[in-house]
Amino acid sequence: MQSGPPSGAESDDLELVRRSQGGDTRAFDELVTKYRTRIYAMVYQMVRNEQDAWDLAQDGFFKAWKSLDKFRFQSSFYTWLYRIVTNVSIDWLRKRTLRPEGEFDDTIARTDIEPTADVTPKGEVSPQRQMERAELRDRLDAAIAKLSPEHRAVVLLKEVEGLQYHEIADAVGCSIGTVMSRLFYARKKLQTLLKDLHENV
Amino acid sequence: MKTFEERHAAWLDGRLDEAERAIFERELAGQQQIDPATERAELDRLKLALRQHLARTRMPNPDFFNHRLLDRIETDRHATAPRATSTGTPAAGWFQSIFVRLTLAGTMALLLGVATYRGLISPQLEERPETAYLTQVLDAKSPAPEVSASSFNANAREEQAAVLWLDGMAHVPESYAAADENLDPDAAP
Repeated sequence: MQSGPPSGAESDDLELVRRSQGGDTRAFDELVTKYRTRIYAMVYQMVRNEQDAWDLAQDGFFKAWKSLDKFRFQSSFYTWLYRIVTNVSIDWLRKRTLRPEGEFDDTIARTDIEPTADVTPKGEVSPQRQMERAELRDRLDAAIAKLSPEHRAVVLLKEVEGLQYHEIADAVGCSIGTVMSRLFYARKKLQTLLKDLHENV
Repeated sequence: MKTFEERHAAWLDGRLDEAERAIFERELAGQQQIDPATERAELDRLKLALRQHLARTRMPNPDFFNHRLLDRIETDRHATAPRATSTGTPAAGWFQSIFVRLTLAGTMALLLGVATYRGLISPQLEERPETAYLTQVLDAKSPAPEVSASSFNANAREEQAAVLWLDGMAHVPESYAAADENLDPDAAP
């Protein structure tokens, strides 16, 4: 599991940021290549739609490019970028919840997720096990979709992205105490929604 | 004092010391009616499930992602570049443009105003005869019935006088007499 980038990678990032601030798009392209998958994954988990996630990740990176002169090197580029993308995603989700919304579509982009990655090599999983995992993934998707955008962001940044509390606080723009509080209630809700899964696993 | 939610997160992360952990677990079991071991096991399973099933998301068309983003950046650069090169920054250019336009418009309006005054209004004021209004006698009455009083205005500018005509008056008291030069010696009393 990835956590924050190591200090060496961070210093590389900062050099790339300096060059990008000077208008070097190739340097920014390197930063995009480095973080696009994680950013996309994060946004995808937030919005649960492939096309929307792709577009929002684009918006996030574009906004980051436009705001590069405001980056003061007081945090890692990675955390700063997460803050922008998280805000873009939360804003999008808030606007979306103002419109009538249908039930959660559990058929969305099932093929884009590699459920067996990091678990066992492909081909050694029985169809029965694959079905169980697909069911579990769908249940997780549905449960996460029932969280508020703020709670969703915190639980994904902590549990999936593995960020530290101070990095999450920086990314979502609140105190560490608020992060912990949101995390507690998000976990409790997920725990309740997935109670039967816990009992069966 | 940390809140219950903060201590819960710290407990789950193993950041509480032995004494704090014991107190928290007693609180969890007593007040919250939650078995600490079950709670930890469930939340650990939840964390594992989230990581295993959500962490690996493949991004579609990653190279096109970069291409489109850079294309967007270039388009934005070209959109803002002309304004930036002509008059400095776009904001400064806008301000300067508005400032220059306002200055020119103000100067033109001022010149037009002066020309209108000089050409049309000022000559009329100079040619207009001085009004006799201030010396006009509005009412002339005589307390003696045998004396009739009337007045007329001298309209010529150089005369600057109002004439009071008293008909039937035997004489004018000296205290009412005007200066000699204004009296017509040939006029009949």
